[in-house]
Order: sequence, then C-alpha cells, then structure tokens
Amino acid sequence: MTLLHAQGRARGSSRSLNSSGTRFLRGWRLVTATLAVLLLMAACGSDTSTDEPAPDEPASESATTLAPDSGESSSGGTLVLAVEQWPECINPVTSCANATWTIWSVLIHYLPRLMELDQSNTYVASSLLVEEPTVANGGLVTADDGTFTLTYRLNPDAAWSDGEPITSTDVWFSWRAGLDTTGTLSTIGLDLITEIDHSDPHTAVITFSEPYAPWPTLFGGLLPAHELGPDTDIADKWNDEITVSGGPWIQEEWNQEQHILVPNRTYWDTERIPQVDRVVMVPREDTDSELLALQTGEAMAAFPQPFPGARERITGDLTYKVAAGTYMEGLWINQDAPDRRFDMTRNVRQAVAYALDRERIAEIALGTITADPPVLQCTGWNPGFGPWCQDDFARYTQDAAKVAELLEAEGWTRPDPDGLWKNAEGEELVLAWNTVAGNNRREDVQALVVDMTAPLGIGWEIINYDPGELFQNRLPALNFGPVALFANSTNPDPSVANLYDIDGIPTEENEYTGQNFTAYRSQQASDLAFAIDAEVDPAARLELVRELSQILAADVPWIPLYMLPNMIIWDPNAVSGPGAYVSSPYGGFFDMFDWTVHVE
Amino acid sequence: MARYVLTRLATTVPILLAISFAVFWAANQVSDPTVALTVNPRIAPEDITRYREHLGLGDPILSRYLQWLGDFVQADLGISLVRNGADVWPIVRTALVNTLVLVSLAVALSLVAGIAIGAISAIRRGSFIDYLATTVSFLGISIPVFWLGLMLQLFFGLYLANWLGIGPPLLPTAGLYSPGQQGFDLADRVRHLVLPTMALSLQLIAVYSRYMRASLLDVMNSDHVRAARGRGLPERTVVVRHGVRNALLPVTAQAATDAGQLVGGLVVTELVFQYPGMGRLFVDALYGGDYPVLLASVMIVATAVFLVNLAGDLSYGVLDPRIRRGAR
Repeated sequence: MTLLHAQGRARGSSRSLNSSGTRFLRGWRLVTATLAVLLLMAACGSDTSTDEPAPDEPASESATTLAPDSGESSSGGTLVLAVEQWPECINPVTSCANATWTIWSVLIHYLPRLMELDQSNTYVASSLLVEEPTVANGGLVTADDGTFTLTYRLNPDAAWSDGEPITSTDVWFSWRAGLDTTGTLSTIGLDLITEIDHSDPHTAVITFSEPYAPWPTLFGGLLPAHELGPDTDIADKWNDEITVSGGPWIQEEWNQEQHILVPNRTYWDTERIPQVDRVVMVPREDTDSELLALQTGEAMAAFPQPFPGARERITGDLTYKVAAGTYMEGLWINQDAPDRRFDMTRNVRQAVAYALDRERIAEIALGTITADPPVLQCTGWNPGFGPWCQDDFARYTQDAAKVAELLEAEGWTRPDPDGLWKNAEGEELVLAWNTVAGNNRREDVQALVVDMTAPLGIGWEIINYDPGELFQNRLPALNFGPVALFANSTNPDPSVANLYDIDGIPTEENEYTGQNFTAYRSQQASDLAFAIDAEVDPAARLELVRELSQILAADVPWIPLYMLPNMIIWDPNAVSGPGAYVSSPYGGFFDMFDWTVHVE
Repeated sequence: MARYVLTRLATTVPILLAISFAVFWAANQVSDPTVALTVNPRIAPEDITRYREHLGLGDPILSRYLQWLGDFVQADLGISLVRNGADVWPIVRTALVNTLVLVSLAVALSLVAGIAIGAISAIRRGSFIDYLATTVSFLGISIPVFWLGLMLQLFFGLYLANWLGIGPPLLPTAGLYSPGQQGFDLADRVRHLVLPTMALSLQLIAVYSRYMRASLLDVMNSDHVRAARGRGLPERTVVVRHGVRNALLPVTAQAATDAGQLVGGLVVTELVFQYPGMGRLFVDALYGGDYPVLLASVMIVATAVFLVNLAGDLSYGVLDPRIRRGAR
C-alpha cells in the first residue's frame, strides 16, 4: 500500500512537472533559437574593416574554379602562408635571430645581403654588390703581416625603402652592432675584424686580423645606420617591427598572430619586385595544423618539417616538393663516454659502420616522406651546399667479413657464431645508444639497427631521454652513449672546425664549452679543419676539405646516415611558384617575390 | 565571513609559493633557452657562455628563484628570456584577456546549456529526451578535449565546407582572427571563437547537465516543494522559483570547483586551435625555458583558480539564505 501510494505520487509529480516543463521548455527553445541565430549571424558575418578580400577566400573555391585548368595566374592578390614556428621577437642581432624561422619568415625578406646563396646554395655576389670580391680583382688580399683585407664595392643604386642609399657606413654599423649589442648572439668572424674603412660610401674595406675564409657568411643581414644608429647597441630596437627595408618587401605588421608584408616598389633589384599585393603569414605551429590550413584553403603554402607518411597524407589538390635540407643525422660516437665498457677504438668504430646498411636505414627513416631518401656519404658537409661533400664514406656498406676482420685484429672473438663479439676481458660488444624518446623516426631506426646488426654480433642497449635531458644535460657534458642518434646543422661554408677542434672537446677544465661532441682526438684533423677556415682561395680550400674528408672517413668519428629533408607544400590551384628554394638555408619562402596567386 | 576569507587567503600563500618553486625547479630541469645554441655551428661556445651570463642562467637555481620571488612580490614579473628582454606583464596581459574571453564564453555557454539540458532531463525524467540527454552527456564526458577539437576542425573546416561546396570554411579552424585582418572586427572575432568555445564547453555541458538533473530531481521531491504545491502556487512558479533556484546551488558550487579542471582543457583547446591565450603561452614558455613567463602564467592561473574556488564557496551564502544566516 505504501509502495503503491509512493508510485502514485511520483507519477502525479511527473505529470505536473511535464505540464510546467512544457512551458519551461518553450522558454529554453526561445533562448536556444536566439543563441543559434546569433551564432549563425556571427558565423556568416563578413569582414568589413579591410578592403582586401579575406585571405582565406581565394584558396579553395575560387582558386579551383579560376585557375587550375589554364595554370595561368596574374599579379596581385594576397598570398597566405602557414608558418610552423613563430618567432618570439625579430631583432636581427640578439638571440631572436637564432630561431631559424625568424630568418625564414622575417629577416630574409627585409635585410639586404652582401654575398648571397643562389639556388645551388653557392655564395655569389648579391645585387647589392657591383662585383664579387676575388683575389683576381683585388677584393681579397692577404698581407705579409698576416692581415686579410676584404673589399666590397656597393651598387650605387641600392637604397633603403625610405630612400636613403645603402652605403659602407651600413656595413660598418652592422659590424659594430654585432659586437656591441647587449645580448648579441654570435660574434664569430666579426671579432676578427679590426677595422672597416667606410670613408667611400660605395666601398667598404674590411680588415681582418687573420685570413678568414668564411667571409661570405658575414653581413648576411645589413642594418641601416641612419635608422638604428648612432648607438650601436640595438638590443631595444626592431624587436617587433622592421621599420626600414632593403629587400623586396616592406613590413606592414608583425605580431604574434600574423605577419603582413607588402611589396617594396622602390626596390632597386627590379627582377625581384614582388608579384602579389600582399603576403600574410600566420602561425600554424604543428604539421597537422599546417596541413589542415592548406586543406581548408585557410593557407596556400607551408614549409613544414617533413613528417612521416607525407607521401600518403598530402592528397587532393595539394602538391609538395622534398629536397635535402640542412640537418645531417647520424650516429655520433662519444669516445669519452663515461659508461663505456671498452674503448671505442678506430677498429670498433669502423666495424660498426660496416655493420650498417645505411641505405635501408635511410629508407626506413625517410621512405614515407620521399621516394629517394638521400644517404649522407661525408662527415660534416652538406651535399647540397657546393662541392665540399666528397662521398668518402660511401665505402661503408654492410660487410660481415669486414666487421669480423676489424674486430679480430683487435682481439675480439665470437665463440658463439650466433652470439655477440667479446673482447679479451670478456666484455660483449654491446653499445649503449641514446636518442630522443618519443621521436618515432629515430626509434624506428634504432629498432632496425638492432635487428640489422644482431646477426653480425653487435648488440645495443637503448636508453632514450627527453630532448632537454639529452641536449641540455648530457650532450654538452659528453655524458652519453657511447652512441647517440641526433641531427646537427650544416652551413654552406665548409667550415667544420667546431666539430673536430681538438681543443673543443667539452671537459670539466674548459667548463664543457666546445662542440667536438665525439671527443675525436686527431691533431691532424683539427689542424686541417682550422686550415680550411684560414684558406681564402676556394680551389685550395677544396683540396684541404678533400684531405680532411679522407682522414675522417678512415677514422669514423661518427657515422653519417642521411640528410633530413626539407619540404614545401602548396595548393597549385591557389598559388604558382613555390619549390625553387626548398633546400636553401634561406627557407622555402625566400623567393615568394616570384610567386603569383590565382585571383579573379 | 571576513575571517573565513582571510584564513583562506593565508593558507593559500604557502601553496602558491610551493607551486611556484616546483614549477621553477621543474622548468629548469627540462628546458633551457640556450639549448638550441649549443648545436649551432655559427655560435661560438664563448658566445653561449656570455649569453647565459647575460640571462643570469649561470647563478644557482635557488638564488635565481629568490630573485624572481623578490621581484614578484613587488609586482615585477620580470623580463622574458626568449623575447629579447621584453617585459613579461604585457605578454601575459594579452594572453590573459584572450583566455578570459574564451573561458567566459565557454563557462556561460556550459552553464546555460548544462542547466537547461539537466532541467529538461529532470522534468522529462524517463522520457526519450531524458535518455538521449543522458547518453549524449556520458559521451560528452568521455570525449577528450583534444580529440573533440580536432574533430570539430575537420568537420567544420573541411568536410562540411566540402559537402556544401562553399570553399573556405564558415568557421575558421585556428587563430584569433582571419589572416590579413587589421583592426578589431567583432564578427570575425566571434567566428574564430565558435569552435574553441564548443570544444571547451562540451564536456562541461555534459557534467553540468548531470549535476543539474540530479539536483533538480532531488529538490523537486523535497518537503518545501511539496509545501509550495500545497499552497496552490502555479507549477511553473514551483519549478522555477522553488525547484531550479535551489537546484542551482550545487551546480554553481561545482562550476567553481571545476575551475582547476577547466585549465587543463583550456591548454589543450588553445593549442589545438592556435588560440593565443594563457594555455598556449604556458606551453610555449615551458618548451622555450622562459621561466619568468612560465611562472607568471602559473601564478596568475593558480591565483585565479583559488579565487574562483573561494567565490564558489562564498556563493553558497548568496544563493542559500540558510547558510548566510548560519554564517552570522
């Protein structure tokens, strides 16, 4: 009875709730409908504060209908680019400039260069120079007292975007700013300059205390003295605005959300006056976001880090181009590894190199990105940068007999033909191997190498770390390995002294400064590396590089695997022109002055 | 009441100090603003050493922390280590405003929708609508924010636009405003807020609707509601004034105590949608080793969470006169 009563009350309550609820529901329906209308209005609202078409308009529909068949394009329009790493600040001298994307997305488009990399990544005179300094034309002079004089003759037509001429005073100012600015990043090369004679506005005579072969790498971003001077400490200037340009573009806006560039119509290099009316760069700070922005038409091109599966994921209207980039990845062998069970002798290093099928490794690491993964055949030079990479490492192909020969020569034995090599002390040939935990490419390589070398009697103990631990704590203190898998950057200049400087091995005595991360001790190699830096004649320099390359190939301080590729993706229905500078240190957007967008 | 508030404030200070030191210590262990320099062959080791000294990174960690703390209590948030000496406060302020806008919208939407759905479920208890709302709520609670964000991007940014053949998406998938937009445009800003707001609020809507349903069912079966009906009040008045208002009490308190959880979803949402708020700033600062920005973000967010929790506690008194009287 009690139960029945309770049920009846409950139903009664429910009915009365329902009747009131219907009215209640009507009220909420009204609110919901109002919200929906407001949202729809907001969603459909047009941008009214700009005369330009919204940059996300032409990429998909209009581009598809306007241009793809003919492939023709016209000048004008807005180019929208997705940028993977957004600079925190854009000062050209301080640590802001260490971020590659500060150069790629900002500085390279505004600051003129004296010497410039061409499409084959060879230094040539830029349009700012009348001619390239050479020994023959007196531009490069090594005096008897050991000083080195470099003379630049400037193009008298060159001018900043505000009309002021670009003069030798700007060269002088750029030198001083590089040295005097609080928090300046790199003084390499600048600290060897003793004087810059800028008495003639169109001639800069630079005196170095000693021959400095990488001179073309200096003054890659000239600064306007009239705008930034007279104080040569420019730490507080141009952190978020480049006010004067000496390049094809003028900065209209830069902040953490977008970067707007407009053509510099007064640019003296008329072949590089931009085709489009405006470029808008927006941050899309991971590969998936970049790809989505391209697929939705919110961006027209991106220069992302190559990502696994790119060949399958870049589909539909998008196209892409892959080329060797600037980072070389390899097995870095730490001869001073604190936990090593045996010395990493030359024979052991060579044996490891002969145990690897590096083509297969490159295929596993990069095969989903490019059909033709580039295997690196030299230790320190980029095959895409000039003639320096000598392919001396090509001799190291997988060879079980060589492995056995090298190890047996040092007393290693293999009692069990299916087991590991053992040395005289009974230590098995097992190498501790570090890389970045969670990096799929590198972990795939590790798994492959473990399988690949097991039949040859070489084992691995894989201990991976997060990037901070590996690169911040262990690498600078040589507390890794003896083997680590990581990438190191390369430069168009063949200088490799930092890698092989015998005094640059990080130790407690030198407070762990130095970048000789393999603890490679070869006085001959070290001397040759410094000789390369001091030889200003390119032909003689190449001979020195050849000599050093042969020594390195014999000594195997580290095992080169492959060049990490660069990649540019674009929507050909929306934009024409990308792809010429994929492997350039200037970044894939460098030549966007030549690009066109497909507009009505 | 004042004593209660002061006590809560006093107990919060050591917690904030502990949080700040823990974050400072952890940040110094996992990231370093100069680490990228060590593998740049164009930068000499001595330049790196000089630069580290310039940033003060050579000092012991405790010394640096105390220095930071001393400045912080004087309302000086310091300078960024990766933005060439830029003041931290303007950086944080911009992100804070963006986050407040997003959070306010998400919480408002969540409360309105969650309360409405919960109320309807309770009123229509056992009906199809109730079962549907319950099922959808559990789905909403189960779906991770990052996954939901990605799905919203794909659906609204790509698939819907393709199906409708409308080219660029109606709802942008990332950013604060359209590329090239200069000056403030409310409609454009709202369009960019829609998807992140949806991603951030869906889980909250699901949670609040469940709380509201349970709370309203409980209240509607209580004595004072029966008494109200007995006095002959119209059912609408009974539901809205005596039912919903009382049912709101635990929901509101829950919303306040959920503020901490909201931060987690906020970080993910801002990253997925490239939204320049506190969450993205926090992650960027963490990866970049920019501990002044990192600490400022953490302290501001932790303080905000504490204040919202406190406000939630105090709101009991405002919403329930019995508690207010008891406090006297």
